[in-house]
Amino acid sequence: MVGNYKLSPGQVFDILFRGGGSSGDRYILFDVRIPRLLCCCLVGAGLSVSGLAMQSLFKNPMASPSILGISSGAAFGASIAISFGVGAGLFGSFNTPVLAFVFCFITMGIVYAIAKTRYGVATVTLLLAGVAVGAFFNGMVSLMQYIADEDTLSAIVYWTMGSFNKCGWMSFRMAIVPVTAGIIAIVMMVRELNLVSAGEEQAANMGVNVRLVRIAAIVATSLCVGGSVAISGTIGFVGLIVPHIFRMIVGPNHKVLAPLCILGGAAFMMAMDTIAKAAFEVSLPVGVLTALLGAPFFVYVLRTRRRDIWE
Amino acid sequence: MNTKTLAIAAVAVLLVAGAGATAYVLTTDKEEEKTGGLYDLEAMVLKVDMGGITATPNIVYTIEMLYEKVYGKLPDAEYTLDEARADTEFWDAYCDYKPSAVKNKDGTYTVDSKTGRGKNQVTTKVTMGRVDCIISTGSMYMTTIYNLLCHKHGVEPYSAEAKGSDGLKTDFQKLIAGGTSLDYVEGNTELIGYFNKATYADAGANSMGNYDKETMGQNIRDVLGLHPGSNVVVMGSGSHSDQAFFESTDALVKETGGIALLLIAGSTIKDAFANIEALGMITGLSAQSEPLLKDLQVRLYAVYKALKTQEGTHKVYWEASNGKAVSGRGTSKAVMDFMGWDTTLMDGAEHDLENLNQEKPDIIVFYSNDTRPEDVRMRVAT
Repeated sequence: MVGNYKLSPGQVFDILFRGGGSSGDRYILFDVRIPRLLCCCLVGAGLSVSGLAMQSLFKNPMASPSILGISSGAAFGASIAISFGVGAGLFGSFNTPVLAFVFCFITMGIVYAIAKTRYGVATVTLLLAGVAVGAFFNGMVSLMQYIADEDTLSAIVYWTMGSFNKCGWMSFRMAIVPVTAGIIAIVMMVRELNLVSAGEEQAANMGVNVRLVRIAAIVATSLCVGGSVAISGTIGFVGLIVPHIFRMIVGPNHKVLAPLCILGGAAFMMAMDTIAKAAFEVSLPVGVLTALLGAPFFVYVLRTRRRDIWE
Repeated sequence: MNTKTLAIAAVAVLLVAGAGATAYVLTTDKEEEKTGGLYDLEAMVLKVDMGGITATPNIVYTIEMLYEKVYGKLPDAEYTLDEARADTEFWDAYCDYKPSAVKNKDGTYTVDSKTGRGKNQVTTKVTMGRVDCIISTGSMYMTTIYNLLCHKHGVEPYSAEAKGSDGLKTDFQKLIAGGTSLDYVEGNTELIGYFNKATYADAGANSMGNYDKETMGQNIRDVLGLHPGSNVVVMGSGSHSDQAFFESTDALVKETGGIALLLIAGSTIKDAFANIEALGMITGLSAQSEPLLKDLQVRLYAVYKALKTQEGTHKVYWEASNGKAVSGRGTSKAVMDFMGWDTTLMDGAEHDLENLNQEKPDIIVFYSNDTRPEDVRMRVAT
């Protein structure tokens, strides 16, 4: 009901349940607004729940889906598609989202290969490898921006700010499978994440296959992030603050946290997108708003709920 | 000495210091020649209207302006279109364009809509009726339409007569019914005075990439509300759009009452002529676009002939507002190639002072909407 195309609640009801409205009204509702809302939900839920998994896996309150550098890898994939048209011959118009998705997994593979030793993969090494690889790809994106002409630069910058402006049913169809698979995988690991977040040694003593949980969490996060950035570009902060907010409210039990992150992330993203497109004269990239509004709200929650949940 | 005396003394000292500093700055600005930064190149500094040169009649006016700034007044010699056409070297290079719109036997038009660029450019044939209202992003369509309407009303573009023409304003407001935000129009063109803020369907965006789809639908609805039964088209640059975007946006335009989405790409002088012809044709202004095109081609030929008499060349450095050189593709490059100037520095890269002193460009160009302070542009404030 809130959008730049004026539809009253009565009109929306009429279109939804009585088949009323003009063809334009129906098109805006069914082919613009609903797929956009669904994409918001999908991306918000995927980023939030994968943020939860990363914070638990790394036992680090600053962890987010971007901690493994996969968002940066995706941004690099998108940048080379925008700058040089890489993949256009094979994927046509979808080369940017496809390359973003592919580079998510390439980055994940590189990070894991760097962190892997003959003795296994230490979580701290994994985290540091992610930071290093992420920094490398950020540098590559900066290089792309530096050598790009004005139009290309504008396209890359707009993409890296994140937006649902181009999302339609095709975007939703592209993202639904990987993001849902990632979310389901994380939801199925809530018991293990509860134990791992309390300490890997204790978790192993309780019969948890820590190595398997780690790999599964990383793959699930890559699916969520890859599917999300492919359709909306890189949207920061959601995966960091939404799990935090719910952790401060309901505590560290992942059985409660995971569904709350899914619902809360979806609601948060819908709210941010609605504000981004309707509250100002100019439609803003949603990624800008998640940081601008999310950060103060996060600080507010932090100041009012002083439970030392990470201690 | 008490506190009060100390305070008075401090204020007096501050006032004297402030007056001294002001006097120093004012006399420095007036009396000293600017040195340092790009000033040391002793190059000619020119300003070019960005929106005016992309596929609009202004591309020719810009070329004339560049000639006169650099070489002096254009010779009075008058040429005819036949003479221009007979000069095949000129005609084939700049005027022999491939039309991007044709009129069909049933009175409809088929127009090329282009997405992407270079080898990834895709052309879609769009068939539609005569256009009554345009919702466009960027400034090239409004600039071209403005020029065509000035011809229709017999007034010189941008003249006082044009500004005072109510008929011109009425036609302009009906045709350019919405799109590019008026803030952008105000900052990047000289056309703001021709708009009616109350009726203009503002997109709140200046490109197709950041044009919110719901806003586009609402803009079309608003324009149709104001001009019922009109044929409304949405137009924008297709260089950075893809076919998926074209198809989904075209569907949106048609479902919300518009007749077509046209994405136009232009990077050469020929493209500018083809786009002027197409815009004139689909808006029913062919009677204006045909003489306008002939006039532009003859004027271009006059500059071409004048340039033939000039010896030597110039090296140009054209800097965008982001501090980087304008890239070696697009209309900017086409203009400089026409002038016959060395464009090796128009490579999209950032050139430091050392490099520029080595390359020694003798013409520096900035966009007229570059809002950086002069000292920053000329790199003396670093």
